[in-house]
Amino acid sequence: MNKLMACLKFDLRLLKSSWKIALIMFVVVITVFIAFRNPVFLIFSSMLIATIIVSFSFIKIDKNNIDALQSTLAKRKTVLTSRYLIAFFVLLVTAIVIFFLSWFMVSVFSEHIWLNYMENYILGGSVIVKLFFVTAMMFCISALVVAVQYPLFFKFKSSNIATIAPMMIVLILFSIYFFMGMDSNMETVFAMLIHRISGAFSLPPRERGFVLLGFSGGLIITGFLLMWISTLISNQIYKRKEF
Amino acid sequence: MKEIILELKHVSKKFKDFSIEDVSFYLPKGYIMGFIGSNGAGKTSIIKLILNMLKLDSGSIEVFGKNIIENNSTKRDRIGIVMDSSNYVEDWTLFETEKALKPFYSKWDSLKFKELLLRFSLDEKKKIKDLSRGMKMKFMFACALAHDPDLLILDEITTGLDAESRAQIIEILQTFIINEEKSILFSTHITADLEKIADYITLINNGKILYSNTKDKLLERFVLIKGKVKDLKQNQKSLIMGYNENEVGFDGIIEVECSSEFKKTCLIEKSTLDDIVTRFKLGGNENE
Repeated sequence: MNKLMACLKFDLRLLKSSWKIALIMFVVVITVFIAFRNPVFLIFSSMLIATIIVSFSFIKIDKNNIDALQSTLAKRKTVLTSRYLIAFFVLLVTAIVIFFLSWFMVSVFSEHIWLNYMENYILGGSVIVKLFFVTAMMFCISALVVAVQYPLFFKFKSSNIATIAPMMIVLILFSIYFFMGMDSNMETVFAMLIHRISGAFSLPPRERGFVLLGFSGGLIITGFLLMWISTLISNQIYKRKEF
Repeated sequence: MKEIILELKHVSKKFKDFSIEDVSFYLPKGYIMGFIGSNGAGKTSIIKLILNMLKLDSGSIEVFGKNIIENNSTKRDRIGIVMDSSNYVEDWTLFETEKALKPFYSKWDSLKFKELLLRFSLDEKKKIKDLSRGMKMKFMFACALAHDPDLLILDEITTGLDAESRAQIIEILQTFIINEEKSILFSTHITADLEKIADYITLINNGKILYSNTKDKLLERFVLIKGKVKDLKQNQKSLIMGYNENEVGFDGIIEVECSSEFKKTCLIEKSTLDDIVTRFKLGGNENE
């Protein structure tokens, strides 16, 4: 346990130097939000920043050969657990903070918020439920990106990040398409899917909000499971790695 | 019976273009072992195998009497490591690096760490990337000593250091070993450093151990021989290891027991560690 705490402190220190970049990016996101009044963009961009930041630490790890150092300090499984815990912690905290922040912002800019398109398809449920759903979805996508990236990071050097990053961006862009479409009359796959899911329960519109809430919970659990499976795969890779 | 701190038994490891073959040696508690070999001889690879950074193909390694594969968690707190290159985060200051390393060790002594930085004239506000190679080595050495390890593993620590710094490190090592509870594995290709402090010598060449025993036995076993080429009989030449011809004659080393037949025609002198190591590398006793 002591070694895990030591690894966590070490990894947090590695992340610490990326906080300035994260803060700058976040300020840009808030500015764009204020300009366009789009909470979905705020949630999406913030989770994207969080995903990039946790990936940044691997570039530092490779650049400074930290794996070799940490292998002399703690068990490999401890090192690996720490890195996943940090990623999970960063994504979760970002999701929680951004959920409340977007809720606050929606309240402040309530008259001009660009959430109406969702109303067309996701019947029922309050704004907070919708925001929660969007946050949960983005958490799940970010967890998927981390779950795919981390075993590759443990296997290869971060110079290969160039091959992973586009894949990550494609995933994120795909999620934008799902969420936002191109105009206010969009009929995105995602919106249709939600419409059908909520419609399938044949519930009164207000109660469909609970379906959305349950669906959101499922997404958070899925994100967690994806990262857990990724941990198992990474462990198999990392224990054989030579420095 | 001396307590064995580190023992390698028939260790082998294949790389793409190089292999470590059947390496066996041991280091008793309270002693300094000089681990000598030219660049690329396999010193760093063996150290990495000891530290479990590389995986063994065959053989076994025991540190503090425990197999490193089965018990790799117990040893870390008791080993101080200085590798031949820095693995610390280049953007961190020395102070930040200490903060990051400290939680890993139960016996980390910040006061001792600061004393060592002061002794090495290292400013804790400086970033790792702003240190010279020599300063980085000194910093790693300070980190390795700050948690009071029982075994120090030093890989080419004196390379790139000036004479004064090397003397400083040798002095610290002598103090470190004084209570005979600690041990040091000191890998280097600078034999002058080991001449002063090593108790045991392990010579490695092309991934094979040429010699591993006490320094005294090694020095007692060989003498330096010099003479005119014309005075040398053909059968005598085969007894000379690292035979080298130059403008004034020849030189090499021979086993002490063979020296009597050279006494009349050649100059025989006590050999230094450097004389022996140089001759071993020139094609010496591969079957030791």
